[in-house]
Amino acid sequence: MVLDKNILPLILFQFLPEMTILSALSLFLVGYKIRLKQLVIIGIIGALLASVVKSHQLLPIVSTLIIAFILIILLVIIYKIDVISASIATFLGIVVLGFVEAANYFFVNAVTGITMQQAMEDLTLRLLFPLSEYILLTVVILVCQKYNFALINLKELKELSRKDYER
Amino acid sequence: MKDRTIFNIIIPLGLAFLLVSLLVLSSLNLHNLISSPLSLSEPVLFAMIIMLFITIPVLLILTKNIYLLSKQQKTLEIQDFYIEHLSELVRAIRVQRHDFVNHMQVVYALMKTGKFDKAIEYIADLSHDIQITGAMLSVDIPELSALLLAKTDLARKKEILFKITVESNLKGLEIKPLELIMVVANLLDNAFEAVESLPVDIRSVVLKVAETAEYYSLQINNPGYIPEEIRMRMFEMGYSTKEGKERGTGLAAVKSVVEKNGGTITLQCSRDQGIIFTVCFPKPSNS
Repeated sequence: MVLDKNILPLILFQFLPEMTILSALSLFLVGYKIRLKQLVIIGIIGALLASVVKSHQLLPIVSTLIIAFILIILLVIIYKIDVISASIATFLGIVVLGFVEAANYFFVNAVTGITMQQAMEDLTLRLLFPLSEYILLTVVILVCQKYNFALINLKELKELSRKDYER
Repeated sequence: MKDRTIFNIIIPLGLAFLLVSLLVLSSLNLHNLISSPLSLSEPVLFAMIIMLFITIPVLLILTKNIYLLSKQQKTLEIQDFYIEHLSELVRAIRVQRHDFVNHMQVVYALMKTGKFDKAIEYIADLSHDIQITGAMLSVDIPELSALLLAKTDLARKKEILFKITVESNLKGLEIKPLELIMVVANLLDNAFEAVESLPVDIRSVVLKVAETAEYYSLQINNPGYIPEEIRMRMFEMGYSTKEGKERGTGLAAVKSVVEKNGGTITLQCSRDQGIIFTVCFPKPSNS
């Protein structure tokens, strides 16, 4: 395990917003109401665990899968939703977050000419690089939350799928 | 949720996850991919990335459409349930109408032949039936009245004496009609099934709809006895004393719906009183 010397600013300004945004995104995409208190708790615990995972310098896909697993557990324990819903929510969140992250990379690269390698070498650039992505996603989350948009409403589907009507 | 629905959602979602991983990896290592002699040329790589940017939203839209289809399917299943009960009701009303014509003919014939005492006796018996129908209709939940009417018809066919006592119109009961029907229908069907094999003279089921200061209650009573070891497991999902693959979901589902609505279900059983299922739903605090 190699702990980054700038771990604290990374936790505060990268992992914490990323985990909070990811969990909020995951929840509203599957039709769950966002509860700020639980979200912050998930964000803090998730950010700490994500920093530990990322310090192991694993392959990106492996660390993403481990973080996804952590988020599923946190959603089940703190948000009290079932494992299947938490898994679908998490992977849906990761898909959307990853998509926006990639789009953000191309956008920032095209506007500023800064590459990912350059950004990773400089702490300020590393922290500023995903800023536009976080702002965009926060606005999207707030707007979607206001208009009750959900890509798939698992809660509703679960309610309809109960076997109560069968004899 | 049924496994198939989940499975249908997971496939495009998993594919989208793989493509996103590929997209993120290629964007992180774009420089290396272009400069490496073994890798793709720049236009091909960009074309691939653009394809990924298009495919991922398409997969997400596909996931949404699969969800909408599943939702429609579930809604149709629930509508089928309603239609089934409505059909039973229509059939029951047709039978009643047909019976009514026959009764009128009998009364007319008795009066025509001067047997007025017999005619009065016949009308008195008839009015008892009408009173039961009236009691059913006094319940403030039309869906429940319809169900009781349909079950009365079913009981008649099975030669079961089905008594209904309505002491409360259930006004203020906060439960979805579909859920209430599911509870009552399951309990009545079980009671009918239990007495079917008994001699006709003791083949009876009693439904009592009542209320106290705190609860609305529905009590279903039928002759019979359930040994304690079966009673202990009756509300378990999948447990049934009857043979068949699809058995053992009814009472477990009833319990789940009752508890979901804050109610309780109890089972009393004794050799002299028979089997009594009591479902209680709390009254809303403002009623």
